[in-house]
Amino acid sequence: MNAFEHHRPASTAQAVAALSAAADGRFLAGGQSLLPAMKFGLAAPSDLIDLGRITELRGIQLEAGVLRIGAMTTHAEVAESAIVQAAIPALARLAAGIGDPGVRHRGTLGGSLGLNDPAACYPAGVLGLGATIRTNQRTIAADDFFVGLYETALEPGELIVAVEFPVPEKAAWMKFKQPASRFSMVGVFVSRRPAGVRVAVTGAASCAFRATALESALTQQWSAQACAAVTIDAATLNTDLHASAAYRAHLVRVLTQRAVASL
Amino acid sequence: MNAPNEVGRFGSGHSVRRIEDPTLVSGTGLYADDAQAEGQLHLVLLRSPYAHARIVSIDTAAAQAMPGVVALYRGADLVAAGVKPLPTVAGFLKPGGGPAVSPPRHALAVDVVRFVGEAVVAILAQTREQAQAARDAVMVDYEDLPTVVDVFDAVAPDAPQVWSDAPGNIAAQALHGKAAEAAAAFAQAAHVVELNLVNQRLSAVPMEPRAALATPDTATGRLTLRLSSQMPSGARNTLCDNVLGIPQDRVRVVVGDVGGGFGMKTGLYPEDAVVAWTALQLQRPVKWVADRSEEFLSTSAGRDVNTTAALALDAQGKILALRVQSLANVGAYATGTGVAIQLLIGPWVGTSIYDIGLIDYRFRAVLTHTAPAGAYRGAGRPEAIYIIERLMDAAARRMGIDGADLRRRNMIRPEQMPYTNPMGQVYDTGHFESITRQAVALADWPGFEARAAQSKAGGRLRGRGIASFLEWTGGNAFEERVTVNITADGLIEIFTATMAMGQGIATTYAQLAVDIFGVPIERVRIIQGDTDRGVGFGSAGSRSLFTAGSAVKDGAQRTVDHAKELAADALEVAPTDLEYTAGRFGVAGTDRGIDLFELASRQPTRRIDVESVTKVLGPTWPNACHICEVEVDPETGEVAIVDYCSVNDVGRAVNPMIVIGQLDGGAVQGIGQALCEQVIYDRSSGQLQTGTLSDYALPRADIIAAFRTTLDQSVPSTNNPLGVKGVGELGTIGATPAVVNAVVDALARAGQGSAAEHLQMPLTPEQVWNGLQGRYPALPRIEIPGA
Amino acid sequence: MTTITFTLNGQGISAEVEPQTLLVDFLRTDRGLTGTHVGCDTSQCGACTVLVNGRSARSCAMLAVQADGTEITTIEGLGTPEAPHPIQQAFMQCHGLQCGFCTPGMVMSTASLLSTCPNPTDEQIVHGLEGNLCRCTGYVNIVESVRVAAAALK
Repeated sequence: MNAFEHHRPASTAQAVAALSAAADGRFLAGGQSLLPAMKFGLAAPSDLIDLGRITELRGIQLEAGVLRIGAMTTHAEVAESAIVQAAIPALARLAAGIGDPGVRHRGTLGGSLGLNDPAACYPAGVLGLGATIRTNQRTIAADDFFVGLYETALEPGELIVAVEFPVPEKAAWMKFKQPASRFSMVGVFVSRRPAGVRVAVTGAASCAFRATALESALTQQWSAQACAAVTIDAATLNTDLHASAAYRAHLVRVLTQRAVASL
Repeated sequence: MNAPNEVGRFGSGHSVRRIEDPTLVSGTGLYADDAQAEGQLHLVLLRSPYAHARIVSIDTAAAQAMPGVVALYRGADLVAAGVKPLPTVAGFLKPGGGPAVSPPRHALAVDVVRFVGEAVVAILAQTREQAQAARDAVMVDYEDLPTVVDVFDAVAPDAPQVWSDAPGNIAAQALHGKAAEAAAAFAQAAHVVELNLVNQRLSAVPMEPRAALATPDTATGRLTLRLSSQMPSGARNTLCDNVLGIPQDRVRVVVGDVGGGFGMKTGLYPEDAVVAWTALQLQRPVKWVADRSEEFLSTSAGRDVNTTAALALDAQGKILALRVQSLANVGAYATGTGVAIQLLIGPWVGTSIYDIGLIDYRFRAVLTHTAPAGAYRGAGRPEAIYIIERLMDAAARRMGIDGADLRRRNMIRPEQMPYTNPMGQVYDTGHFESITRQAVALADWPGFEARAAQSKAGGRLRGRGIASFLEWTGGNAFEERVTVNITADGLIEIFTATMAMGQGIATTYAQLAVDIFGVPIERVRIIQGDTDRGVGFGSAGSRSLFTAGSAVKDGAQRTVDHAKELAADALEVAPTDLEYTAGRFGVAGTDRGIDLFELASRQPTRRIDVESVTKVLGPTWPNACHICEVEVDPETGEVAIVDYCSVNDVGRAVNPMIVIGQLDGGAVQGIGQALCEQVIYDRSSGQLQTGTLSDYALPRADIIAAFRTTLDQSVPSTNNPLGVKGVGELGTIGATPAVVNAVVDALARAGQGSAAEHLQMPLTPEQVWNGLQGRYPALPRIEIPGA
Repeated sequence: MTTITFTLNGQGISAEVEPQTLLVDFLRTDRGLTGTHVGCDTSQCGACTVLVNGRSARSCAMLAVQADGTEITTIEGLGTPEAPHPIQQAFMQCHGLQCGFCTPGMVMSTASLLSTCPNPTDEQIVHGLEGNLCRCTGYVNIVESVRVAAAALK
């Protein structure tokens, strides 16, 4: 791993300032993706701005039908939170299924979203619930946040502070694990809210996306059967060592059906 | 003679807690990377990014100038210093008759690199980070050459040639049996089943990566080489005799705790030679630790053989002949082990427990630009048993008869023992039908249909697979030497040259010592891993217990007998007047006597030392029946193992807990092959695609809920005084065909019929889902000219 | 160089480290605590698992500087060969280890699991061990070891 300066700011403002002062700085959240990348030489920042001390980035609150989760909240904290389990149990289950206990004790919501790994679980949850990402500069709707492969709408130096999840009527998460990495080979987050049905898919393409054909079918009729006639276009989906695009397309539909059937 | 207390609780036959455990469970073991030497340099290796390339130039100037860098070496430097290549295949022939061939395997590549990850430059620095940084500054200019990694591509006309002396990339060939007679049997057989089968390339992945620490003694000129190795003596001998050309006594190999071996840590690796040579060259200690990525690139690969096999049966299902034609991908360098495993050792058990008179085996060892193949748990026997057990199920399906029944019709009967199989291997004992009958009962064989109906009601497809089989053990090395030292301070130290790597042999040997000595097991110390104390074949081929264990038993008895002579002298009685009980020699009918350790203290050396050699009569033939039931999710193709039971003829179990641990642990490795593991190289570029744990899928704790594993100890081996049969690999060998046969069965029952036999490992969810849609991989039929 | 101050196996310590030093390397090399093992280079095998404020974490995916102000427990801090912790005793009783290389990580993950879930179901045990690879045992005896440890710790 390359040598770098390590900063431990106590506030968001200090963190942002430290990053802008750095030649080639990165925020360090849980480190569960960044540190392995640095070990492999895939990332070599001049400075790491460690967010671990910033208490205003932590915490879980439910207020007026919106679940607010601080960016530095760990997956374990979300999974074990009585508030989350009561308000959006599917989100707690999603967090409980990320990686393994060691990853969940350190990995964070903000870290996961900022990286936007195409096989990460949280992007499907955030997109599938129509959440809002609050940064130190603005708010970004989930639909605008996930731009492409490892690419988000965040500006350089912009820091996620919290994510606000509107509490849905119903929601479910189904994850099919890639057998080696245990990331989502295909992960589907389904929700039904007054605003409509969302079916968000991760692991299947270069970025999390909404499966609009399935959303339409479920809007017409909220049932697993309604999805049976929907074919997912494999053309934009990934083929890799572990699954073909065709199989992924098939799993998108199956997991969506199972998500709906579970509710 | 023996104290009932100690022997009755800590002797053979008891599931004694392991004496290794307090150290290991508290993290106070000594694995190779845990050892440090004062002033050690750190060595890292620059590895080839190309599968096949000419090394045009190597520029180390920038690297040499970097902080902490002490030296850099390339292959040419070692050659100039007289370092010779590692040994490659011997004792086999090519097609056409000349000796089997391999490119020379230099410790660091010379002129040409032949697989991605082959070591090219050694960089030594004060710290590992400095060596890694310097590695990035080494400039190697390669000329990319045509590459071939797929075995069918390699044997096709106009394939890129791996080695000029291996036309068609065939390094070696072995033909066994009677081709013409077998052809006649096939021609008039009532039933013929033929399958194309893939036994995919695997990586052993012991949890401990390789590491080496070479420490030169400037005063004596000797070198102490610490390795993570199953065969300390073999590594030492190859290093001295073949590679460095120095007397064996100049190198002492020491091995501490080994974090798993599975056959992959047998033999000398190029990296070991580089570490040793650089340490001698620089007269500084040198430490090397492999990254997991390096392990995936450069450890010896397991399996990797493609087969077209056929069974000829008469109308009653009696097998008339077995024909096997295989292309074994031995990698870029054909090693002795890699070739022998596929061309000889596997074939030794090709007919398994079945009374098959006629065989026609045609095996070719093929070179490709991949890492060399070598031993991996089972080493040839899993491949052979996979073939025959897949064929048996296919034949049963063809004939519409029960798979267990077809097997029984062909099993060798106890009265036929000792039985010579068509490869000339002699089985000493075996009650195969009894083992299968017990397993079928344990599995509630008749209850399957009801369970299948239940699974179906739950939306799952149930299938059942059986593997009835035997295996060959011993590594072809049947002699072991032990030294037994009774010390004045109350210890019995026993040295053996076998090597612990998790299989619990220290405890097992200690129990055998307790059987004879009758002392508390705490007084027994099993010492291994030091070529200065003793040499031998090491641990491989499930040999340790029946060879070294027999030697421990014999050595212990000889020690007691010798000590009795010494006691007689000390007490001035005749040896026949003495009785040995629980650590004491007593004069019969009196209170007089002498404690064993007290006797030791009275000797001039304050010890009693006995050296003892035991040779067992031959291999042991452990055998078993493994039965597996799976549920397949028809919508996703996911396979869940819902029941797994086995009956295992292990001869005698010295420590049943340890034996079952070997069987179950081994079975999970076999399940891993069946369901999720595979080494994959990109077909055109030769790049390794499964280079990390993100892509090489190992079983995790959710792979299976429980095993129902039973031991049958009613058929002791007659080839060794313990009656034991080696168990280290048995579980792995049985699990793979049991699981695969179960998934094939599930799909066959779900409407695919015999088409399901086209399923190939690993049975990933997508593979199985494809099968459910009638889509299977198309494999070329292998035709090798017969004898 | 950064100064870090934290509790290591119950003892307050202070050390100077380079920011890029991984916690696992600090433990193994600077402190000589070689019970925490390195089994991979992608932070996936779990052999390096330690406790950070009582929760399992991979010490290879943590910088030593991130340990500042925390309580770190390694396998050496759990028990000794002479005085093993009940979890270690359970592993010995149930033949939950063979080569021992994954074992410290397994034991620490077990400690973490049982601290938050003292009565785990089999499913919870398997879920709790999902981050720890073992190549020798086939896991079944490890799961049994955790069951026995849970009962012993009640």
